[in-house]
Amino acid sequence: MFGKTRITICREGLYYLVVLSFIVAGAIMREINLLVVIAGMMLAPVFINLRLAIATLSRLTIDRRLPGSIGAGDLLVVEVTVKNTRRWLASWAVVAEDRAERAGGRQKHDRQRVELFFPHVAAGETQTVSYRGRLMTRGRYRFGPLKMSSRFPLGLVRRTVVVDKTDTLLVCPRLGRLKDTWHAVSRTEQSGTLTSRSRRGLIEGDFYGLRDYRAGDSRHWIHWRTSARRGSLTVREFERQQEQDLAILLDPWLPDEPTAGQLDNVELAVSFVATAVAEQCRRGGSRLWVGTAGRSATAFDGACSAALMDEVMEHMAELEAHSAPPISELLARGLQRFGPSGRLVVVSTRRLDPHQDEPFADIRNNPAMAHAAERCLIVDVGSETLGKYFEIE
Amino acid sequence: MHLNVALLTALGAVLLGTGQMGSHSVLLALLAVFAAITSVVFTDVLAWFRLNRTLANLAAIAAVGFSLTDFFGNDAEYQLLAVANLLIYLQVVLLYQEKSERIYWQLMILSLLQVVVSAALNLGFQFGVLIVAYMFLSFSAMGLFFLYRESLRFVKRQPDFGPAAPARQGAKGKSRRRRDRRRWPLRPTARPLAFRLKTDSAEIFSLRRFFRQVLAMGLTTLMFTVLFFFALPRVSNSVWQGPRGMNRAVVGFSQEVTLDTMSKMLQSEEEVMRVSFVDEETKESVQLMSGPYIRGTVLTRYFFGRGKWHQSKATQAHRFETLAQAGAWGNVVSQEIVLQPRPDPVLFAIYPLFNVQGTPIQVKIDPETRQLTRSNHHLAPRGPYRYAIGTTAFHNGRQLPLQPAGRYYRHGELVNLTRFQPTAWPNLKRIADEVVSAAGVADDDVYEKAMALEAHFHEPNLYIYSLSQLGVERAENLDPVEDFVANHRTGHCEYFASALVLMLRSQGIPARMVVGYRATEYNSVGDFYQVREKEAHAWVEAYLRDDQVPDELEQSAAVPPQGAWLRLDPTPMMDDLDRDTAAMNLWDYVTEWKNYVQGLWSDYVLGLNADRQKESIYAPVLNRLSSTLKSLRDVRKWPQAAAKTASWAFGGSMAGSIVTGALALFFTWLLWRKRQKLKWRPGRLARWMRPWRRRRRQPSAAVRRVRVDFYERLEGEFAKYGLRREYHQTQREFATSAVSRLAPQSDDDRTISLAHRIVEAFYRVRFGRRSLETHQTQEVEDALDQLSHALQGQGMDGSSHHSRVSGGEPRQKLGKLPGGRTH
Repeated sequence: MFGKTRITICREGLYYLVVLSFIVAGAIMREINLLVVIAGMMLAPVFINLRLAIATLSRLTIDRRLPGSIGAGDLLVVEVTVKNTRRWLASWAVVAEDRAERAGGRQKHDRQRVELFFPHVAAGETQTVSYRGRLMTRGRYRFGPLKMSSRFPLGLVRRTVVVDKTDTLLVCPRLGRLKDTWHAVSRTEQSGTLTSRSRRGLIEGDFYGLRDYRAGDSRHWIHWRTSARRGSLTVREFERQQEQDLAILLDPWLPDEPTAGQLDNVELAVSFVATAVAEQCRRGGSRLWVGTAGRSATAFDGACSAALMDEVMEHMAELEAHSAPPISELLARGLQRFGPSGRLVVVSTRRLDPHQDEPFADIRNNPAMAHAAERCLIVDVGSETLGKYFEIE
Repeated sequence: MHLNVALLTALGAVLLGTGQMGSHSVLLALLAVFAAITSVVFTDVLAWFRLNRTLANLAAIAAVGFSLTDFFGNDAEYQLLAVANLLIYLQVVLLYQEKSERIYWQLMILSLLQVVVSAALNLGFQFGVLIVAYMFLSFSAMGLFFLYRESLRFVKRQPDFGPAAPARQGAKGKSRRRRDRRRWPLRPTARPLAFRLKTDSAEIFSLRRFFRQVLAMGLTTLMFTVLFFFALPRVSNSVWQGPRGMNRAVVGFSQEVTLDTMSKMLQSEEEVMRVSFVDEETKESVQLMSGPYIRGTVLTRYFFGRGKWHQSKATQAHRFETLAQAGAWGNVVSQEIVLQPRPDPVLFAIYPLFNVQGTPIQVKIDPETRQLTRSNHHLAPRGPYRYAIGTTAFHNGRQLPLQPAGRYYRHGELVNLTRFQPTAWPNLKRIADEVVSAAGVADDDVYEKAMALEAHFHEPNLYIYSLSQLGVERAENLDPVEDFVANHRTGHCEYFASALVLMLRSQGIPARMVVGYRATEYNSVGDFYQVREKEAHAWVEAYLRDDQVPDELEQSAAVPPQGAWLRLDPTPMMDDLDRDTAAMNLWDYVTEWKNYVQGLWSDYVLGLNADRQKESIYAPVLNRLSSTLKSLRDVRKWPQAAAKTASWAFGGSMAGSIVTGALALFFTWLLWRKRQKLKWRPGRLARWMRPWRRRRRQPSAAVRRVRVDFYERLEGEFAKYGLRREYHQTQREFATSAVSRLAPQSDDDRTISLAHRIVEAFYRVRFGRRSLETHQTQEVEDALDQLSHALQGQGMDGSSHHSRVSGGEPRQKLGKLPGGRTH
């Protein structure tokens, strides 16, 4: 578990040694024995400090506990546990250092260093402290390695032990709140979503009651315990599905030299799509198609479930904007998937015109898809349109 | 921390004050102590008086300027004093400032510099005692300061992670344009992650365990310092003697005597030498029944009218000769003398002198004057001079009054020693004649004449012994000795000795004055006489031919044919100076111990030069090692060798003690380092210890204790109001009880439910061994914040609070509210 260890002389220790060397020089040059006494008294603490700094970190274990994932801006609490496995010697003034680095991050704030202080860990004691904060940028963060250092008791010499303990934390996009306008849009028949009345599948809706088995009922609905008790097949009844399927396409376009506002727009777009996906999966009972056009085109398609949501969130956490996102292909796939009866929601960071813009060129040449494209709901994040559907704190 | 640093600075100033700095600097040191005490009370605790930085800087500049005027234009001693004064001035200025990390640093550095300067100024063993105390204090201060700075690093970083960002909408008309550049609410901050140190971590400062560690560290340092000091090879034989060094003024002894040079003799406590007597045969120390007369110089020529005594002949280096062996003379006693540095080459000893083992080759004697000198005086390194020299002057614990003449005296020399003009000292001659006549001594009985004349000065109420000549009526036209004998009869030893020499000469007896020391301060702890300047003395020697020596005086050895010198001491009350060791009180014992320790300090610490180190440390260790190795070859000699080595190691010798200490330190360290391995070592002992080990492996309740951060925070919240969980209370009971006491008038159920939520989470983590999810952690944090606010709201209502806590539950501790309110 332990990596390399290092012993360094602290700045205070350096000054101390300079003073000590002057005293030794004075003792030698002027033959003052009392200065030799003082030199001895000053030299011993350096060795003692070195020895205690080494001893205080020996047989000391450190561990970190991270949550599985969090949303950007949520409070992150990381617990760091230090255990003193020695039987006699307590550890004093142990400083633990943890590092967090966002994968692919190049900004200063993408690399963070946190120091924690354990004033006193008695022999055999386990102590847990936590550091907290809010990671504002979505992405995959790598935590570690952990470092422990101590300058106890005098702060002259420092011993550092690097513990090769790394963890990964996924920071998902920040979730906002969908407004009623969005729900109204999604409820409108033929105006934004594809209607589905399927009762098949694992998620059938809320449980309502039990009834006798009828021909055509799915075997998944049989309640075996009741059937055994009654001696005849009994199935569960569910409330009728009312949820609408959702098809949403994210176009995180970003110029090569983006402004702060454009960067914000990308995050807003990602948050909006993530919120819509989370809400849809939370309700369940419908299908979901999500396409994202980052550096590469990715599409998710399936029944709304926690697993699908996790998959989409994980992907969107690491989604990178691009100046030429492959949106044409996704548009085609989305329109094909939902057919002429559905309506695709396109969330973009740029103003898109299906009649003129290049991503729609292929679609315009296909009459069937061109008709469907006409009914696409295009949400330009940079415009005021987003405010009608979505807000974020 | 304040107190520790103040004590440190005060002790540093005291160290300076105990040095050879004079009364002015002692006052300054007292000022520093006063400043240290008052600054703790009025500046640190009460905060009544604090120098602001500008004023402090001006004061510091003034102090530097004032000290520089003392520094320039003076010799090294005064420059050192100027530096010492400057350090104290600056320290006083710093003490009255508001303490910060910087001020603490500066105070500690100044204090260290004071110690360094005092090491150059201080020669007393008190420095050793104080420096050990200073070492412990400085370790404590450094340790506390280290913990203070480490804690401060984290206390300063108290970030607020509350949901501060206001709600923002994705787009909203005109306002959207205005915040175009700041519309995303989650812009990264510089320090998104941070650690919050519990504010009550200051409790570590008061932990006894910390001070135990300081104690252990101090003791280890002490042992290391002893080893380091004695093992570090010295290259020179010089020894630092303080800033005054070679310029030691000699107050008491002088190679010339001038009567009336001072109206009052000054007495100095300064040590001149330490003399111990060891029997050459038995190697046992010899203690005398009365203080010995230690001769320095013999004065033979008196200048009439001027009251001056001189040596008959200047000492010439080329005529020096080495001492003779004792030969057939009686019992030889070695005088081992440690002489403090002197400006002249005169050596002191009790005559007659002989060469013994340990007599340095540089010790010479003038064949004419019998003056003992040190031939390499001008080339010798600084520091005390040690020499051993033999004598046969003792018999039955007394110094014999007769001293064999070292050579035959020529007739002319004896004539010179009896030269006397009756017209010059008519009264003196008359009195001498009367005394001799009154004694009825036969004309040829020189010894009796001399004794009668000596007794004359001891007659009660005839002469007055006084160091002061103030108020004495003097006859200006008379010789001082004639005036003394005939008129005022008041004087010190030089007057008495002068008068007796002249009286003896008036009777035709060759006589001379001897100056030296009369040692009276015997140290029974160290078996040595400590001779101080105030014990400088003058006495008389009268020459007796071998046929003039009475039989009763020839007890120790036969008088040689050259004759002998009879010691006469006319000064009254000299016998009273001999201390009665049976009547010693506690203070005398303390003084003896103090002097003994000072002697050791001077010998082994201040005076440890290359020769001394070789003689006291290296040679004994090497010899012991060599003899032990030799003994190892023969198994039969092992027990004897072991006994000898043990005796050497624990017998109190310096080298043995040091080696024992070093080995003890080494083995302690070895055991500490290897104790884990020893624990697992197989064998009988390990098997025997197995049950004990098993018990030890079961961690105690304290060891099993697992800290849960958020619950500790909850207890911390209650602790602010003086409430602590009793041993019989569960966490839930405590929370319920505490909330009902602290927030009786609020929405009780809500507050209690907040506390219960936290306790439930604690139970889940602590006993269920589950971890909290992020949202659960968030909930607990929120609950803590809300509870804290609720309690604060109630805490402001001091009156109701007071009545409930103090009246309702007397066993609860009353605490201090933040902000200084007690309830």
